[in-house]
Amino acid sequence: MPAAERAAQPGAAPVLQVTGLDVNIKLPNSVVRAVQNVSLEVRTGETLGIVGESGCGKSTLGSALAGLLPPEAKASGSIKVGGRELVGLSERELRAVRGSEVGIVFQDPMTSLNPTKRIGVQVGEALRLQRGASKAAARSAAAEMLGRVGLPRPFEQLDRFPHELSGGMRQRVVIASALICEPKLLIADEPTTALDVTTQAQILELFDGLSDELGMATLLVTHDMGVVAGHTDRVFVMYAGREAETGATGTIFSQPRHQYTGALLGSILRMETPRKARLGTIPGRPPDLSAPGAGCPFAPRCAAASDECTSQLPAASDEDGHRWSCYHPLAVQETKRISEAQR
Amino acid sequence: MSIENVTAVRGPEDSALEAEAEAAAGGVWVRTFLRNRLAVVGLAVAIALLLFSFVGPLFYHTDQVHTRLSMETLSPGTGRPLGTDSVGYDELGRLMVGGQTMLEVAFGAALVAVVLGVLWGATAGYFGGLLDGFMMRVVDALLAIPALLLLLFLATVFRPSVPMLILVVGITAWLVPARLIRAEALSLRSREYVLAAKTMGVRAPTIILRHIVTNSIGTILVNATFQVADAILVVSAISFLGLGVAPPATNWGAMLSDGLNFTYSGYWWLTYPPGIAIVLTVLAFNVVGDGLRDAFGLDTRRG
Amino acid sequence: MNAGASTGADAGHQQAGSPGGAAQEGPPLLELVSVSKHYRRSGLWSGSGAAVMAVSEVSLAVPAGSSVGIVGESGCGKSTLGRLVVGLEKPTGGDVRLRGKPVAAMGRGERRAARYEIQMMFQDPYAALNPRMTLDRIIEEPLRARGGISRAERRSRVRRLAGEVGIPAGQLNRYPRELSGGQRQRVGLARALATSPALIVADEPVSALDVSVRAQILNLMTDLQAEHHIGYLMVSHDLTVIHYFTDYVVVMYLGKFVESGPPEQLFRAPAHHYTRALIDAAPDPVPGRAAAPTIRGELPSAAAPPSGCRFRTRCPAAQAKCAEEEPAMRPFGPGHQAACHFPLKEQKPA
Repeated sequence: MPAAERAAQPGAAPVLQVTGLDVNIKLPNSVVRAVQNVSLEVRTGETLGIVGESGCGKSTLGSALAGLLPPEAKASGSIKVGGRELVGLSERELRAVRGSEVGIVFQDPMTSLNPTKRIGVQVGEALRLQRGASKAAARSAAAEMLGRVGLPRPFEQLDRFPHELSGGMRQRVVIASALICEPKLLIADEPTTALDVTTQAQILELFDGLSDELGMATLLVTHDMGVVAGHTDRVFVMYAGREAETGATGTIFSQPRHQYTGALLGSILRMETPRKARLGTIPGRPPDLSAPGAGCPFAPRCAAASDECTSQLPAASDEDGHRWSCYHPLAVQETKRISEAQR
Repeated sequence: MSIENVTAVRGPEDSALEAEAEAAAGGVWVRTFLRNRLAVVGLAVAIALLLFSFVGPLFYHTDQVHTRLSMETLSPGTGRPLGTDSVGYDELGRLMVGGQTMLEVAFGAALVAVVLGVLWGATAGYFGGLLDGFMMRVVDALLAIPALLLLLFLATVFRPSVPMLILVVGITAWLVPARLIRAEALSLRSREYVLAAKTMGVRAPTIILRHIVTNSIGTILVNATFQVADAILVVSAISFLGLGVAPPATNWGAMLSDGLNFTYSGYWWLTYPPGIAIVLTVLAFNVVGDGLRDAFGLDTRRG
Repeated sequence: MNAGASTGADAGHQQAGSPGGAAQEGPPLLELVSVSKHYRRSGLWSGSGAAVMAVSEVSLAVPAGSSVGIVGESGCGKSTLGRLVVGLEKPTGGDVRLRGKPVAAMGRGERRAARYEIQMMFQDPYAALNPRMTLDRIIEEPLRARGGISRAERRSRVRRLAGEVGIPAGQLNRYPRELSGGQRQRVGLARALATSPALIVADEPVSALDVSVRAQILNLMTDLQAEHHIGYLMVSHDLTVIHYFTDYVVVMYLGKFVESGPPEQLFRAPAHHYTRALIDAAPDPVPGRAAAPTIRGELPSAAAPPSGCRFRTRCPAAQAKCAEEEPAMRPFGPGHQAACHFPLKEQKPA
């Protein structure tokens, strides 16, 4: 189902609500400010895409929301899942949340599954741990979930080992084990990057279906704008640990306001890109997050940067749920040009 | 088993993470090592023993060549911190001279073992196939020979001297690094920079040295450290059994052997000092080796 | 524009034809003639000792100065093909010909010289450079291997190459870990150029890079092509990159060529169902247009490929004939061919 048709339920309290989240990672000689002042929310049935390039902090954000930050990382601010605050919880308390309220799917299906345990056992594990289900009950629930994620002949698969399955099937198993406790929120960090494009399409279609069927909220972290365009309701564009722009998917693609969003969209290669034409690039490199400067982090690479951009962080402008932090937002004519180029 | 449909392509994020891991391997292992207190203590002890053995005699002059039977087995007293041994040599001075021999042989043997083992293993692992099979069967066959017996045999056949000991110990010790480096070579030979070198027409020996060996430095260094510790034990054992260097040269194993004749006489200064020296040195090098292994992150298999 | 068989191809194998272009005098720069690569599974644990047919009897001609793309998913054999071209693997059947002469028939010295004509650019910028070598050493390595060039001359060439790819001379004594992915890929390109090759095999050159960096590298590759008149054989799973960069595309599935032709034609109006499926499945950065999986199932094992047409187990249009008879390449327009019994469009003369 095209993303544009999937509307979030208005008025319902958000399943995930993040306010002012900071994540600092302590390294031997420095502190990396991986996530800075991030606020977002996801409602039931909604899919939010968190998109950005390498080093922007989106994976750290995903880990923070999943409660899986490494010991040298410290999160401050607020993360509320179903109204319950996660920041400051002990590992035991987090474990209770993970698996039952929050399901997590990672990128590499080969390392997400334990190679020495049978699939039925792994999928049913969360149910046994979190809900105290019996072995038999967990087994039948696992088979049912495997069927739901599109694995053929689920009862036969229960006793197989991960290495007997292909990558696409393994990722389905991972999804099944994430969803077995029917969590309110699913966090998927690059779930299809390691898969072939035809398999990717199948998995993404699965995500769309499950989101509708189970009425859960989904957080999709990815670097692929194509995936975002086709399978999310709202988008959160990240740069250098901060929010650059956020809004409904359709709006972000047709009327990007932040210079970075515009530059990013402009540099994407598409079938419609004229062959052999000079491609638009973003000069320079992302900033070093251990020493963030004052002002907008994108300024050194921005074509429209001015003095105020480098001296002070721009405040966020909000227009009907479309939010961006830029002193020189793209004007409507410019965005029209970008969308023309996209067509 | 069906073919994976997991793309071999890496996403940008994986590469970034690998980059971090790589940066860690750069020069950070030194810092990681220094943060390991036990390892630093071990290193300090090892250096102290080296200084003791080689620099000590410059400050503490004793005659280690002429025996003085009138002075035999005197207990520790003024001018003789550790007394004298059965032929009148100053025990402390003996410890230093013994240390020189021990450490020379240990480092020499470690060098021989590592060089031989690395070249053998890297070549076997890089070429694979029949050559690898043959070379590794040789290693397996040699491993089946009890090392100590071989050493004793060689020690009786050849005239005992430091170079001979180095050779003899090294020849039995090279098998372990050979296996280790072969494993590294097997995993490194499909790295893209090795493939790149092949496409450029770089010849195999150059590839082995320039690409395979240099990227196994971590494993090699760790193993070399353990080789030193092992060599000390082996030399002690041989010398304890009466083989090894001839007097007036000595080493701690021989001193231990001498001293044991007098256990019931209560001449503790003839047995404890060399014994403690051996244990201390071996421990120190083992601890340094462990520290290096941690610093290089070699316990968890790095991809 | 004759884009049909450039060699006397017999009907038994798949001839992908060749890109059209200026009439080439003499044999093309690179030619694959019925090339196969079979790997024997080690008989110890797989009792059958079945062979994995990574590449099966493919033929392709690459003229000098052109850009040819090979597209397919994992397990299709495209990476193996790249390695066969560059000499990292030897074909188990057929031959690889450089300017008409089979490489296998060359003497040692001649083969070494041939090697320098075809170089490779690798996929993973983080594994393509020896982490313990400085950049100047890395770029210099092919020159050292070649021999006969003085140290001073090597140094100046390295400097020049680095400048061409946008690495300032002052950075040449750095280590790869200090560079970003895009910069490393530039170094890889400089290294590939060092021996002045006529063809560069680029194996997924931009897949591991960020989107905004891809453009930089592709621009650079285009510039270098114009400057040095080199050809590219680009191997990728990314249709958009192939469409943008190449003049001629070959689609591979399970070791065989299924369709080939000019990218505009191929991607706009494919004849083969697999090509269609790839196009449909590719995520498009236009909101609302979700990637539609038009084929199901998983890739069959390369050790036991389906009889007849290998794609039939996943093809929406498969019929009985597809299991019995392997389809031959048929023309669908100038330079455009596909191997399918029930293609998506009408055949047209070449």
